[in-house]
Amino acid sequence: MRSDLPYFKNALYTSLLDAHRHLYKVLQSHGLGDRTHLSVDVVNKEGRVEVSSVATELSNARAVVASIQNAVPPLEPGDVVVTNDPYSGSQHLQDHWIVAPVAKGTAAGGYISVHAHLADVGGRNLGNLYPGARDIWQEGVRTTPVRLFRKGELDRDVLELIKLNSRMPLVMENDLREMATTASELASQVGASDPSLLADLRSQSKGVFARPFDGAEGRTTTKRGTIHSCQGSDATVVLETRVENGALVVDLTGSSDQAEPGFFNSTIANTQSFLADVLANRLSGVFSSDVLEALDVRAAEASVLNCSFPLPVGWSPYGPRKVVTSLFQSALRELGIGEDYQVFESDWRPPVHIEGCRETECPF
Amino acid sequence: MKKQVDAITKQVIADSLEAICREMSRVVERTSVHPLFQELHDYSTGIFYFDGTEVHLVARATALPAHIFGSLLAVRALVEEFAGDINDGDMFLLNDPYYGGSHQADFTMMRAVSLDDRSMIFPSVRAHMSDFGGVVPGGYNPDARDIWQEGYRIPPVRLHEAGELRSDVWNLVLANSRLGDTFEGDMLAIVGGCNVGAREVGRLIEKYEPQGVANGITYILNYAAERFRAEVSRWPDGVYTGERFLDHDSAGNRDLKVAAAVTVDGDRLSIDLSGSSPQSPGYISSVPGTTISNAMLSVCVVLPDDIPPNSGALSQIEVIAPEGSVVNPLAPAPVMFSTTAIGYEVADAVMKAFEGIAPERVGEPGLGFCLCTTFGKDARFDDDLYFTLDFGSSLVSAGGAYGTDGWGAWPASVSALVLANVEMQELQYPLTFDIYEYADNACGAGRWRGVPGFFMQRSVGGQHPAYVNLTEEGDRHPMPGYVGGHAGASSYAILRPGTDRAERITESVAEAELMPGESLLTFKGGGGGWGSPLEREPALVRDDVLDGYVSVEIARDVYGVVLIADSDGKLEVDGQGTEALRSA
Repeated sequence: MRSDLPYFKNALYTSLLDAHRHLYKVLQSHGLGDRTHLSVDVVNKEGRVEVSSVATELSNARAVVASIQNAVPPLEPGDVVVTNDPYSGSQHLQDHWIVAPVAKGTAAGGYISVHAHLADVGGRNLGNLYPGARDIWQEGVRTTPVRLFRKGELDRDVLELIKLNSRMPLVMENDLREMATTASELASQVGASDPSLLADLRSQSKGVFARPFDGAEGRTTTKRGTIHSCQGSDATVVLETRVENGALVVDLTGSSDQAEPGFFNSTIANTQSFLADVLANRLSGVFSSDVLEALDVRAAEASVLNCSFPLPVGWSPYGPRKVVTSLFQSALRELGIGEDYQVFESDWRPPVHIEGCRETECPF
Repeated sequence: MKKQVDAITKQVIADSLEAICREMSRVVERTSVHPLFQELHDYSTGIFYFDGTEVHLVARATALPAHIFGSLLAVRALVEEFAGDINDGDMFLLNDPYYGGSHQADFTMMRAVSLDDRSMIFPSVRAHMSDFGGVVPGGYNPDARDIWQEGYRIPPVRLHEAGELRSDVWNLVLANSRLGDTFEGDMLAIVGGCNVGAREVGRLIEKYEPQGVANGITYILNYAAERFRAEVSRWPDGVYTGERFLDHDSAGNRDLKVAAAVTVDGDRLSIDLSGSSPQSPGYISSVPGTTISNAMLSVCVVLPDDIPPNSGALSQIEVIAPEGSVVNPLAPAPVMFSTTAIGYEVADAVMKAFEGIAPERVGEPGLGFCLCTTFGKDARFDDDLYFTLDFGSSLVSAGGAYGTDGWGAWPASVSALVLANVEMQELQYPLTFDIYEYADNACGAGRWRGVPGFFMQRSVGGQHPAYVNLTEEGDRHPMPGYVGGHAGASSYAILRPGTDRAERITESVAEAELMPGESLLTFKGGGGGWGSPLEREPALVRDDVLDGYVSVEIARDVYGVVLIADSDGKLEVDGQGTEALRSA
């Protein structure tokens, strides 16, 4: 993570990073080795991401909170909600989101959301990556938004329900409890914070995203990439980037249709997050909804980058993310938008054994 | 002062509880949605009583033995999990086999009705749900090697708190079924059944007061216990053994044994399954809920019909099922197929042991289940997913019993089911039935013969392929005969019969793709016979020949009946020839 940015001096942001580092150390599931498997966010009551510890899940954080607002009775202090459902905003089933309300202070009425990639949620394969999946249930169990704590009291039956559907129940319990504790403590901390902290971050964020694309007005570039499929045809990604009336348009409508089987489909929330991650880092902006609002992402429904329920999405944060982010990096570089940045993450990939791939050296 | 209730009123209360169960049944079958539930009636209703110490099955209506006896363990698991935290109006759900369930398909819902400050009554419904996530629609996954590969696991969870729905928990359960609206309709049907049960139990309590109802329950439990002990005390003391083998476990292991030792000691009865095979990697190992249910099934078949099958009687039976065996596996063994196989093998082994105790009461309790589930997309309904559990591949299985041939329906274990008719199935699914009929020469011979074997051939219609999960049992170990009766014929299936891609299946196949126009043929070997075929009335053998169930050659070679044509060409029994052949 960079530490040369002005918002690193903001106490609220520092709290998020502390929580992020804490979870990185204590979560037993968190063995996947890079920053993308964890985030801590402050989301306001309208569902706007005010600030996140990383930029990799901005759209997902927004979507998760929106789902919770729709699906769960209004949260009260001490409530904690959990979900892992990609069709409720999560990137894939392994990612568990814990959301706690903030009662007062700088983010009053808003939420703290914490997400981490946890160990196992049932399904066909340990770890939930199944290239032959035709639907989401083959990958694992969906936990749609459900209250894990109510007014500070653990709903033990809900915890047991989640644990029972994991091959690693004790790891799951430890991690959910740690995440819930972290989110609740952060909610209290933010609740007691100086009301100006969030205003400072907003101000810095607005400054970055005021008119960042003016120099590229009217220019267009198109990049193409391929997402490998073991079970059928590879998927093509066509990423056209242009600046139109001061807005950055990313048009993915030329990309392939969604695939079945195909665990490399992405929800639109995932696709938006991939793009936002690149843009936020290139512009050195606050990781907030301002990044999302600066992007106009267009992807056809039922396409590989805007798939429909209930298609599987387990591989989305790996192969598709890598293809989309590298194409977008290249496009922004060509358009002269932002600066290249160093990504401090390994190129490590989880082990996926695929029998019968048509390629002798499977890219997976 | 405790309310005193006379004997007649106690019986009225007991019968009222049975009537409430029947009313619950009518509610669920008229409001459920999926054909498996709504037409086939793969569900059970019951009323359970928690006296503050122990849970008892008091009454049941539409009841599959594999459901209702196992439900006792589910209510017990609920009471243990929520000890001291169960309130009037709470509704609970579970499906997990290791929490008193049978397999994940069977959802058990229980609503709490407070009787007094210690005891409660639980109207309960257990129903086979159409889909609950997992690797294959419907959950029957022959390739499963752990329970998570079968579907969503639900420990006891509270769905309603004091009558108020926990919407987030409800939605969470719904989210783990592929059949959204259908599944929700079925869940609501179960909720409705439990609510009606609770309402009527409440009226009963209002009318007779809590102590009166408790007295009525105690009365019927004690009555059943006394009747049971009196019956068992008439049986000869001793240890009686039986065994039965399952062909395979879908994971390459064959001839899995269930061994039963039934001990009669005065008025006590125990069933020891300790000689059974170790648990298997395939999806056939049977959790206690299933094992005990199937052991109880055979006991109930042997008992006089008028002994109430409630906990009063059933608690008199000790069932020993060693941990780590096919009859009591350790988690996370997959179990989806076990309600029938190896469940029915448990019932068979126990029934075999009863041959030495009450031979005129024994007969095939099981089904020799051959599983066929099919799923795909139906172009007629916006490419919606469909799923069918096709019992046509398991028709028909009844064995002969003392005084009767195997009848053209299912045996005791599933006699509460109603066979969905072919025409309705063709409307509901993009499938066409080409053959649906008895087979020739496929009866288990006996003094009373088994029902003939059954052919089903079904082809895929519409525009999309269908995917078939198939597990055939009964190729190596067909339905057994009893008391000298012969076994039924071996079962098998053929994918794409009559084509150059035909594939004969005698074990399992997962997600076999059948393209539109391709078909599946199943042959289910019929039930076994009861008694020696040489004791069968010759006239009945002649009738079987005329009906096409057996050939003239089998009549002669197996039954020892000689048939000759009279002057009109009609077959008649040659009395002298038959007598000579049978005495040779």
